[in-house]
Amino acid sequence: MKCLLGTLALWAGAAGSAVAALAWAGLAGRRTAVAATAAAAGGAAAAFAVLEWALLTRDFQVGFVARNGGRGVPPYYTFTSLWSAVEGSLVLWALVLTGCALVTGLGRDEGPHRRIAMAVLMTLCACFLALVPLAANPFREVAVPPADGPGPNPLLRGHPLMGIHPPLLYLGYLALAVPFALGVASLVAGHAGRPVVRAMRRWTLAAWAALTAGIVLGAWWSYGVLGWGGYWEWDPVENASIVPWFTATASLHSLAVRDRHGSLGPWAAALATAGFPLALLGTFLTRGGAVASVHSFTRSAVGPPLLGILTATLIATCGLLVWRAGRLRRAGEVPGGNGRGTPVGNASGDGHGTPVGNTPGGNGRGTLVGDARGDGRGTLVGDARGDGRGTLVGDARGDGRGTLVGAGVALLVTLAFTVLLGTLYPLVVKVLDGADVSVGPPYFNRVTVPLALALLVLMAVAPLIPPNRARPPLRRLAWPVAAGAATVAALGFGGLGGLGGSGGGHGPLPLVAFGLGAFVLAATALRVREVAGRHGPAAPVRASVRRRLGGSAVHAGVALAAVAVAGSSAYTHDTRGRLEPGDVLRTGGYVLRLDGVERRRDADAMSVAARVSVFEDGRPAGTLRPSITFYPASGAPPVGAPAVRTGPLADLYVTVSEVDPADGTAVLRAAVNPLMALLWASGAVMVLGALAALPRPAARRSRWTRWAQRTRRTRRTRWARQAPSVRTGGTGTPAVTVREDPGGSGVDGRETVGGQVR
Amino acid sequence: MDPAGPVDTVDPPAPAGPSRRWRYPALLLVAAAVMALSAILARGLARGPVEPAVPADRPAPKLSGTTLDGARFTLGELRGHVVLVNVWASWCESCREEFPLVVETARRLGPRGLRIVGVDTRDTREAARLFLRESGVTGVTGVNVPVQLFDPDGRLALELGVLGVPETFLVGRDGRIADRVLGPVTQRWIDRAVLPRLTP
Amino acid sequence: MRRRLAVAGLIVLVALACAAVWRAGRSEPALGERVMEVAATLRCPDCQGLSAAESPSKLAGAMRAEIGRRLARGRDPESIREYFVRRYGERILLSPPMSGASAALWALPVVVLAAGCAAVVRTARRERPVTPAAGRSSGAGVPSPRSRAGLAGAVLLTAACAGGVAAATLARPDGVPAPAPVVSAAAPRAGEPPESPDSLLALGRRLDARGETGQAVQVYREAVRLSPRDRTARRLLGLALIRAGRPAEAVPVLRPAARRSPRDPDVLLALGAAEITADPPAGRRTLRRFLRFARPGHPAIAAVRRVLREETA
Repeated sequence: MKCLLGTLALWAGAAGSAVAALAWAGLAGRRTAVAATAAAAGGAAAAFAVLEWALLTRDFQVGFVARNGGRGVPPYYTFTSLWSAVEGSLVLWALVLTGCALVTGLGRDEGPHRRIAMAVLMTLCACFLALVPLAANPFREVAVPPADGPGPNPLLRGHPLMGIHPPLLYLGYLALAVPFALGVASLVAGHAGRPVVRAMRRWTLAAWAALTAGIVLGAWWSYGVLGWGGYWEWDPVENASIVPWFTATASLHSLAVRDRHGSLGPWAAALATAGFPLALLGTFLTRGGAVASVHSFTRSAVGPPLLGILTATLIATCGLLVWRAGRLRRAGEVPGGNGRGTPVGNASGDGHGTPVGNTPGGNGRGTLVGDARGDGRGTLVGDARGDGRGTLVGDARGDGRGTLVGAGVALLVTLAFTVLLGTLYPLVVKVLDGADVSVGPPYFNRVTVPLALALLVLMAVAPLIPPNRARPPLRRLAWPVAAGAATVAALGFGGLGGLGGSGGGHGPLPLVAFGLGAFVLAATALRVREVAGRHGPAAPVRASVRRRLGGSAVHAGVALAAVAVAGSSAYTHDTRGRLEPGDVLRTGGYVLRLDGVERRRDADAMSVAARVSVFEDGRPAGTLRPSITFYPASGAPPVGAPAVRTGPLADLYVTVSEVDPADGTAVLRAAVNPLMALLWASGAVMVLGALAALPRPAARRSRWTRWAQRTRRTRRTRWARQAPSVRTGGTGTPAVTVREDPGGSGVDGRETVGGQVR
Repeated sequence: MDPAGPVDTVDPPAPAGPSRRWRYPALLLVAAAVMALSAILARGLARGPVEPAVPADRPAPKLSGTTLDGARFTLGELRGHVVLVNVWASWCESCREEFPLVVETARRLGPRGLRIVGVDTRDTREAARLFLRESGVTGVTGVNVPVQLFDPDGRLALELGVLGVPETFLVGRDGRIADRVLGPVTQRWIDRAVLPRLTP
Repeated sequence: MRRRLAVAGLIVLVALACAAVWRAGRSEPALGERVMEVAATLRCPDCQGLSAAESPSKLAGAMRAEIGRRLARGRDPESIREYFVRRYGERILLSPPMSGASAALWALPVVVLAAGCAAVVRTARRERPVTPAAGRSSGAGVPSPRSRAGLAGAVLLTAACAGGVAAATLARPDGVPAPAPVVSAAAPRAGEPPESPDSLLALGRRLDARGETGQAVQVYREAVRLSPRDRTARRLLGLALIRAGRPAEAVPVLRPAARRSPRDPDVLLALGAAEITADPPAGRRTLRRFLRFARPGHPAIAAVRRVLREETA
């Protein structure tokens, strides 16, 4: 019964998506389209619910449950086992995708772009929802239901993070589908104005937050479960998540620039569109079975159709980009569109330093909300990637910040490219040449570390450059430089006692990273002081200020993460040894004594743990129990679980690789991993910063204001269709409060109400 | 009409020019790149992850060390013989299964010139001796697996390029590695790879 | 005056920092750290995706020991890597060499970065006031003829669909797929051609050899399912189950084989070994049968005799 119900739900979702795609494409009205979209999301949600129901009631007649369920699995891990195999994770994938589509479909209107984007999104939904029952149906009925199932892969049921890490990653990947669809829509339409840019920004930021959280939690999971002591191994699955993260970061910055600009440029469109196909590619690579990875599922029938969807997406996207991107460039230059080139535009637009012209809230630039990193002051910042044309400002002094942001985007794109290249390279060589090569951490570290260090410098300097200036005033850089240099000098000569660094021998790299981290942190602090100081204690309430502070928090988080990564990778030291009961192992100030070996039998597992007493500076500091678990019933490979003693400065990380119950000996590895707590904290800072910068959902506004806004918007949209150029400027909307700040030294004075341009 | 200003009827010369001219070559280039990527992914998927190719046909390394009994031994002493180098350890369960066949092969093919060298790797002497006793090697008279090199730190295994235990290398009369087996040897492999090299 | 002091202080700080970095670059790492550095560039041959520095496997331990020996003898890291490449092939290097075909791997990121920076520089150069005429364009305002755009769109869509279908077709697994190294506990999957029992047995042996007994059991079981009369498959499955600590499960697997070929000593040995813990009397009977049918030189005879002695004692 559940089999039928689930399959039906999936097909209903697919049909709903197909109808919605056609309706959004213009064959039916908005009402029908929204209803069909909701039906699609409902179908996916129903399929998800039925599968969970089957899992939780242990209905082994359902194929997925027979293969991944088990009576001995606790309810929480039964719930999460939905995404521990490929069929179930596709159901989750479809649910998240239709959910994102539904939210986009219900949201405020952005003109014709919305319809095209929704058509694109719903086509994707239809493909995935049809793919599930055709190629990987979790609801296929089992002829002879087994009495008990093997349960999910033991690795995937030993850590509570399994419940949130995969869904967050999926949310990150699939939220990128919305900017992708909007980018495609802009390319099709040939132009895109500020509302579209802003919607793309919103979704990219949301996706970024989810991706960041997913990646950090994934690293944490890997640290706590896989037991080799590290958290990032440049494994294909990890790479698949970091590549879209890099492009999303690049896209956020270029969209911020374009937002100020009021229109989407070709490079910003390319970056915004690239994220989703890259996420798809990564998922295909690892889930489809082409690349072997620790995390990959077994080969399944979804590989070929997934590759089909991926190829079609790539062809369509790249084709559109080549064919239509030039049009976006020209559209960006339309007179009045961003206030450039026309007298009107100039007067109000880049009226920096000219205190005239902005007051009436004239055009796009005046109404801008500051971007996450920056000033919103109306300085036109050059588009990151060489779209010189829409970026011009009537100010000949140059635009250092824009150039630096552009360089940062170039670095991020290079990072994404490098990681993708390194991930694909073994496959390419294997197919072309038949040879086996590996591309692993040494390659990735060697290429990405210099790029990342350069990025740190840009992150610190760019926000300190006042608008319309080519260089940051040296005086502003003095404090950050002093902080960085002092850090390097103090750590270099004073030693790293707290980190347990045993003298030199780590090379200059970690020192440089620490110094740059301090540099960024000081620069960010300076920036926060400026922003907060200018806006007073009530500053965080205002959307634009909140956005800037959020951006600063994210930068601080990245700097902290850089410090933590440098510290934990350079100053880890470990000791291994075979211990008999009573023997001790010494590592970095700790003494570990093996007290004995414990055995435990569960319903379907047997585990042996080494009981280890820890002494810190001679004082007892608790007991650790690293263990190995065997799964004789399901025949899964044994899983070693590390025991971690978390400290503010360093973790003590103990694993056991062999236990001999006969004579009670155990082979232990004890490592002191510094700054791990800081790494997780930095992830939290980044995510919270991104969430703070995220515009508040529209639902908070009262129904009446929404109605009022909608009527006003409809009027404007009509306008916009005739002449995209005046979308933001022409209505003379009074919603803009402008405070001019002619000095050009601090942060901008211009604000908008609620962060939205109406 | 554009309400923001007078309409410019002149086409912009610079921006559109290059992009138009390059559009079709770029389209072709991008299409080729995408298709190449997809084709490679498709082939990779069709093949699936393949077991690593293991290099064989290279000169056998100069294995030398002490045997379990404490005598010195170098592989070079057996130059001119067909040699099976069998890497095992007492902690390896598959070795226990494979061992009877190795012993049997030594008994059967020894008279025809086959020499077998065992390499007991990452092991302790006591455990290895116990293993040999349990496997019945010492209990069977007339069978000799004469040389058991003792390799407590895995140096010899690395010298051979071992990927796992057990693993067996076939060294030809010319002193080159002719074949290798990952995992336990099988009668079929011995018939196919070893027999043709021996004197009839 | 204060300003000058500040500048001087800053210069001193920066100089100190440079000195610290220089000192850190000059200091000689300890042998253990150098071993780890080299080991981190080499793959652990018998594990998946871990370097020899991180892996807990015995082989990786041997590699670290060998690296330590060679470093102590004064070999440089490059020659040590060379040593491993000669034995294990290029695959053991976690970072491909900068020469030869893999040079592209190192060069392409630089090319991309250079292109990106060139674009940024070009943008910055272009940054000058534009004349209204140049800044304006009629490009966006005048759409290309609808029919042409529609045609191009249709061509693009068709190309996308065709490409997708072609890729999906090309990606169909060809022939007998090489089984994935990680074998799940899943039942036979739909859409894949059945694997031959022989290849499954070979895979099972490999897994067994790596000590992944649990997975080997799965593979052997699949082989038994495909050819239930194959006594080798049954024997291997039985032995794997015994090793996995599940002799009781091995008994029903082995009994049909023993019924069908009651004089095969290997089958009898396996069955006896399984029964001796699960059902000792039956096990003793089977092992005695084994002694009866085993040819005189069978290597397990001594062990079996010992077991029987212990059992009866």
